[in-house]
Amino acid sequence: MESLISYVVNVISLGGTYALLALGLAVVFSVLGLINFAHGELMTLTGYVLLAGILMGQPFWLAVLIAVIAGGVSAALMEFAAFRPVRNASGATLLMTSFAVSMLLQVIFQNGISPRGQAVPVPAWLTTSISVGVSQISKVQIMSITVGLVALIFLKFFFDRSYWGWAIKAAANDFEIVGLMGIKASRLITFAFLLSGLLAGIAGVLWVVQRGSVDPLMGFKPVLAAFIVAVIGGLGSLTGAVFGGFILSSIEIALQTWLPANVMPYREAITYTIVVLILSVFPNGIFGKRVQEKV
Amino acid sequence: MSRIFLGLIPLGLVQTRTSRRRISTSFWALLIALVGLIGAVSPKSSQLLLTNALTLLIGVLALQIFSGNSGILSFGHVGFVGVSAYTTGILSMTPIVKKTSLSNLPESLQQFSLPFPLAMLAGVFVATLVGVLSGLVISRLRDSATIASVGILIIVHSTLIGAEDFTRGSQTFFGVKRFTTVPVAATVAILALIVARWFRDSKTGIHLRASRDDVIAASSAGVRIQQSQFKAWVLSAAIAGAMGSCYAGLLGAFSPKDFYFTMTLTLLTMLIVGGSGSVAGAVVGVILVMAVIESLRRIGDSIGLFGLTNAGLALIILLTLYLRPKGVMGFHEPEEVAAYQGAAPTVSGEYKIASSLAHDQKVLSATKISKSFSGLRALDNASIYVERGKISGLIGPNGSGKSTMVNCITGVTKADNAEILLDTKLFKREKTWQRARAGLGRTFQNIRLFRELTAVDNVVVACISSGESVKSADKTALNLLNQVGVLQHAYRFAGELSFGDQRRVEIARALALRPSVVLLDEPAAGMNPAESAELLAQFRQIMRDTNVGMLLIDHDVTLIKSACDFLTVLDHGAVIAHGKPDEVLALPEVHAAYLGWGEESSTDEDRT
Repeated sequence: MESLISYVVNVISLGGTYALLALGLAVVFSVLGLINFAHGELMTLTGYVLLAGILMGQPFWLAVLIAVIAGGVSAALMEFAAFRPVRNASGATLLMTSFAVSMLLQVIFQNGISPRGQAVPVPAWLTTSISVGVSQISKVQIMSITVGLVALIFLKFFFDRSYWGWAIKAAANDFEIVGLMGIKASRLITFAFLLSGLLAGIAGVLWVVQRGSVDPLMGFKPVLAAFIVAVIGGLGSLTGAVFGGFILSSIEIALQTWLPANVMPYREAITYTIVVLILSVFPNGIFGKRVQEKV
Repeated sequence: MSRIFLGLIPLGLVQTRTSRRRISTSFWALLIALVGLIGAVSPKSSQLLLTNALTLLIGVLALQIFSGNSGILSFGHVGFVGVSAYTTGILSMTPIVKKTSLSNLPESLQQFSLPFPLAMLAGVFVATLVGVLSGLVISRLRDSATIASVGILIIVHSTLIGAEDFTRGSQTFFGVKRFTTVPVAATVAILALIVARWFRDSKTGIHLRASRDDVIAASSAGVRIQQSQFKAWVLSAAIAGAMGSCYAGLLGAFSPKDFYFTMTLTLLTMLIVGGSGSVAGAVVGVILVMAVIESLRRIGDSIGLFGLTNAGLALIILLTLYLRPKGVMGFHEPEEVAAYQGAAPTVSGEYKIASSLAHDQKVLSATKISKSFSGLRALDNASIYVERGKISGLIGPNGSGKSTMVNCITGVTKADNAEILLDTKLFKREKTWQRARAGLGRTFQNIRLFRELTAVDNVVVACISSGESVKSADKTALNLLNQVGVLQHAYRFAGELSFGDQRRVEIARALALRPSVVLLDEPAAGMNPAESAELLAQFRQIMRDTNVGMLLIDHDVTLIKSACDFLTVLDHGAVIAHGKPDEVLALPEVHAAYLGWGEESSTDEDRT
């Protein structure tokens, strides 16, 4: 029972972060067909901004707010500086561009800040835990779950009710329709990057606060996971991104909790093997529509 | 950039596919051999540099085989490099060294040791095996294949770290004899180059390049995309394995992080800078990027900047993608560009596709077709027939289900229910490529050619599907282009041709399948009446020559009326009339549904 509660808590908290990351990827993929490798560096950047805010003596909530906004703004800038020149290129070109941007930013972080991890002083009230029944749950985790779920619920309303939400959903179905709605493609793309950066920002803050440190390569790995999440959910499917996040986290945490010690070193390999096998059963992802090109 | 070589390549040597392959393979092989010779007598430091460059070339050629021909980037190949490096390392190590470096190795492996050429082969073998396993998944994917290849890289990487008894985990694996000298690396690089250049013009290579340009058109031309992708993946995994075994003998000591994203970045940069579409591009890319890496490494060492090489690589990728997205060498080999600049090919002798003698016989009957899209009934029990040597017409207002009908017949869309009989073959769950090979040719409403292939290669793709060897496909394709009147454009890239000529190439491609039936989806769209009439005369000629049946889908009532022997009218997914064109068009319900209450002349505005 104890392990079950902590299992569920861990799945929701990790899955929520994956879901936020994958949603950010999916939003950009919908409007541009770009799988953004550099999404992880937006996360890292948020971490550094958060650190700077705290070190400069800002209140925690303000530092968080600034960090998340910085994520969004940098994403929009990234689109403007790096992706605009290749906007109409093939998916492979876009992906390679983002891979190069990601590598470049890593080097910039390594040289501009430090190749080593920096401790992020998290407020003391976050580091304690509370007990639920017999199990201990840290407040960081509770915060992470709350923030993750609130963000997801907010996004649900955003995509269902708001004009821009509809526009992105429409773009996910058929980008040409956006022009028919009377929306400028450039504005929608900028907006999508802004939104995706905000999501990366929230995920980045959650990641940093849980681990208490930030390093130049921090964002790379979770975003690789989020790639896989977006793909098993169905590339460009917003619902799929969320479900994919929880699918991956439940596999990961289950293996972490219950795998026998002698196969534990292969945990990551097993996780990704399962995921790749899921993909071979659902080549378009679980929630992906079979892409029907007009012929 | 390819053009600067043009003056240097004698046209006489590049006129056939085989001669092009020979000349380019010999040229690059000689160049590598020369480098190998120079390297063998040069100082130690430049030997290391050359061996490194040659080893990387093997990896870039591996990527070129898969990514260059299929257009799908792969991050997984470095995984194969790693698997092979470790295998080669473990197997080539002597038992004495193993005792110190790999004391936890199972006893049987402890005592086992192979001479390095055999150990290298074993490395290639294991990489190929991993290639087969991962290829089963990768070949099923297209848009998400790149991400899945990232997954494969992660799987291999974490397995290498996890298998501590064999690999010392994330610690440095050491004790491999440094057997990779310049001549060894040069020999393997030459072999890899021969394989890559041969693959490009093999049946699978040509098919894969077609699918790179257009997936749907490729399967409609009988390309079995999954299988082609699988073969290329496995072959390139083997070559990547060859790089790995060389790398093991070059470094002597390495760890799993050497086979991860930095190496991936290096190999991909070389491929993209040179131009992923050609073997020449791979070679040029390695030379250029090696030069940059070396200079950066020296600068970085002197000013103590961290990761300068990676930053440099990232920047030159970005520059290449912004300024020259197809890379320095472009999508084509220099010898190909030279040949295509030369005079257009000629054909000798009269050529006719063998025609079936039977006349007036139903060759396609597609009946009881139903298809719903989330509740909306797009086709409701619709039927259509085509006879040999006759043109059947299909008309209907926009949204009446014409395109859905074509898609259901060709297998692009899966019908809810359908009985489709082509000649004597009953289609049930056959894929598009199977239907194409069974004799169902088609053209597309908005022309879909393989834009980066020449006109003749567009047709060659379909000839290969119908079972010809590449050599005979080259002959047949030229004859078919001659038959539709675009022989003079045989060596031009399909994307550069005029609209009308593109249509003709599309028709030649459809005919190359030796079809019993050709579906023509609005072939006269965008043509003026004189051009349509000319096209129609050409259809009739083709039909006389080959005795195929045709299904013509169009909006243009004048064309339909003069072209068709039978006419079927669709409205709201159901057939509302079928018969002789004159009789059908006179029916009041056809007027009501299609011609808008008798205003027969307004058809041009309807066309969209």
